[in-house]
Amino acid sequence: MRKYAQILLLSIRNPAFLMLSLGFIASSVISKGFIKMRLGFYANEMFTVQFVFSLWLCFMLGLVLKRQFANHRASILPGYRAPHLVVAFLVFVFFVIVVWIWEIGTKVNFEISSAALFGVHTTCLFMAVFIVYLGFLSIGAVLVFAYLICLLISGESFAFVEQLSNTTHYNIYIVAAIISLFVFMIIRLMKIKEDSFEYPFLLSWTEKSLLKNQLRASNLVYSFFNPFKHIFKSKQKNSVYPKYPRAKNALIRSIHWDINEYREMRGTWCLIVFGTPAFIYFLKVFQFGNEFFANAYFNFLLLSVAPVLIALGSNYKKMMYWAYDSLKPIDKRTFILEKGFGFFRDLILFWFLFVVYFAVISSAVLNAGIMATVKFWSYLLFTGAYGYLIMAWIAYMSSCLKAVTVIFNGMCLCLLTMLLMQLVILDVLSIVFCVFISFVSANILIRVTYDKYCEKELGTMI
Amino acid sequence: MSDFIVEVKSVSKNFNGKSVLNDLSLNVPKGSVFGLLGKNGSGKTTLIKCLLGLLKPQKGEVVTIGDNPLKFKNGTKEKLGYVPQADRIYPWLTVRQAIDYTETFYTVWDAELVNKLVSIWELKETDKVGMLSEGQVQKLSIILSLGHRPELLVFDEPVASLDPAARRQFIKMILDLVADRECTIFFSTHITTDLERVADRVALLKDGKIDFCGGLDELKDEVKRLRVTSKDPIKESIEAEGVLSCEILNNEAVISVRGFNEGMKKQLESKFNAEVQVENLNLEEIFLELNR
Repeated sequence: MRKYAQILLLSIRNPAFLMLSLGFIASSVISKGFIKMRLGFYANEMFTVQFVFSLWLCFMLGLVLKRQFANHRASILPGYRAPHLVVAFLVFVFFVIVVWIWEIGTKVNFEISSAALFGVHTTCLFMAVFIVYLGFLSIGAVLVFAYLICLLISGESFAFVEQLSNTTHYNIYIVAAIISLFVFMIIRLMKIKEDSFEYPFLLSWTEKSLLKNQLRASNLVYSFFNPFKHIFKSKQKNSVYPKYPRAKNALIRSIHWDINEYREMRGTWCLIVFGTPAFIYFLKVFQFGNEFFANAYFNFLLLSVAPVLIALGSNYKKMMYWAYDSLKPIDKRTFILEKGFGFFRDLILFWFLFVVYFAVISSAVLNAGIMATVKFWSYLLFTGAYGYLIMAWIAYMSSCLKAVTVIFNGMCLCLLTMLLMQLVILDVLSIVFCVFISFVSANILIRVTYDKYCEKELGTMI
Repeated sequence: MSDFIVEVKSVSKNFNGKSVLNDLSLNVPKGSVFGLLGKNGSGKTTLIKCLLGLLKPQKGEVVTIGDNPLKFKNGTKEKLGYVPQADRIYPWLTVRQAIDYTETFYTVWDAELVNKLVSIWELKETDKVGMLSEGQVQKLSIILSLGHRPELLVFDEPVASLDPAARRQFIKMILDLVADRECTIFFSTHITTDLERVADRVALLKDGKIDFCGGLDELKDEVKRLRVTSKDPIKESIEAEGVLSCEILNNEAVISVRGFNEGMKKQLESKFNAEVQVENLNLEEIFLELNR
């Protein structure tokens, strides 16, 4: 029993997991409080919050599992694998039980079917399995794509839960598929070795093995997309870390810092090429989720916040090497400027992809009329400008040394975001004015941050 | 019952067609301190991973503690300790929590030894693993591998991140372990001086094969440096079986030979009308000569 307790403590002692668990339990208790106060609407809202917490908990559970199995201890320590899987499953069951206890007595206040709850559980289970097993979406920097899926479901959780609440029957095929995947994952994790097919896709521990496994994984992916193999091969010849370029254009020079990263990201373009037709087919054929895909105005967080998080996430690993990178023959102000360009470029790229997928393509397929209005395009422009403001604000917070300043700014940012979610009620002129204000404010913040960063010791900021 | 704790028979392993281990055979006697030497990329880590079942060889057979490493029983794992090149223990755990976590997997745990080592190596039990230096993590990793009193300890470059004092303590610890418990130690390293102090057997890995395997003294007897001093200038290069290198300067030649015997010395003396001095080489010099 001590062994199981220690394994459980391993997860509980993980600060992110602990905070999410507390958030999950708190959301259950608060929603019960709302029910007692006969505030059914708010209780219903809290159920959505609870769903988001459980989704992220499963995401974390998946990550912890990956760490446990992409590790020599899985093969060397006696009785290691089964107890780790059992504990992970028990943690999942615990959260299911919490939801079940929470459900008792709630039906009086608002309608939610058992099938809907089951849908929530299977979605969360799928998330954990997805993180552990569907490896291509979880190698190194590409982990952001798994993160993106989780973010996407969280961002649209209200619509998602509403959709699930309307479900009165179990979708036996989806459930069977998820459970089969789960069982398959357990079988594979019980046997996985370092030279197993899926091992390089697990989150590896040391930087050296992470790089090695990323290379192995990307080779596997390239071989999978065989028709494009020759294109990647010709580019791989130039994969050595290049000399610092003397080109005058700072934006072009900023690409220098990311050349190796982008080599890894090339597989993403294949995903986009194959993913776009699949996405359009999904929208056309299945009705699921069409309510929020059809109306870009409901996707404010997805279009403004998500690209910032992805851009920050994909750059986070590189930030750890800034202290070393700055040793290149370049003055500090130029170095910071080029890094800033890198962030800005990634933000534009990810925002553009999000807008194309979750506003333009989805509207074109489901609600073409909306695209003919000026408001639609000005709203999209606003999501970009506000994304830029968020990025600038976060950068500013990262340059602040006092925790209180960071907390205060973070709260202001959250409040402003919540306020701007209602922006759609304004007319075109007001929206354009908001675009202008966001853009100007972001530039001021960037300028202040830039000066602060130029004075900072780069090795100490992570 | 075999006298060997590790038996490797004709093992081959390649990655994407690149051969790393090529029909390699090796036996590690019980109770020995066995050092594995080889250049970077010679396949030391791959061999160690095959011994532990972390990698599956394409060809050949490995028996570790009488068991197939790919299907280790729990009983066999109880007798096995391993310290990898770079171990990352869960960064959010403290040193004590990491010890407690590892302890629960074993039926036997020498808490006294573990506490002693924690104290000798000055690790604070309340420190988070994520805040430790690379060398401190290496120390903790070594401690975790010793707690269950393994019969076979496998170290992959164990001292690479350790400071000289810690390296000395590590070597002393190895000697104590072998003396007290008849533990077998198998380790790879680049630091030949350490290996020379503790190893009683060494294997040299070259081009995916074992180039030499035997006692350290045997190796030192086999590879020698000969200083040939002739009355006349030596004009021709000395080429003979076993000559690893040859440097000539006027009437003096310095040659390194493998498979030295007295006959070789007499032959050189008569051929060049010279005086031949035989010099012993240390392990580092032998390693360099064999890898020319």
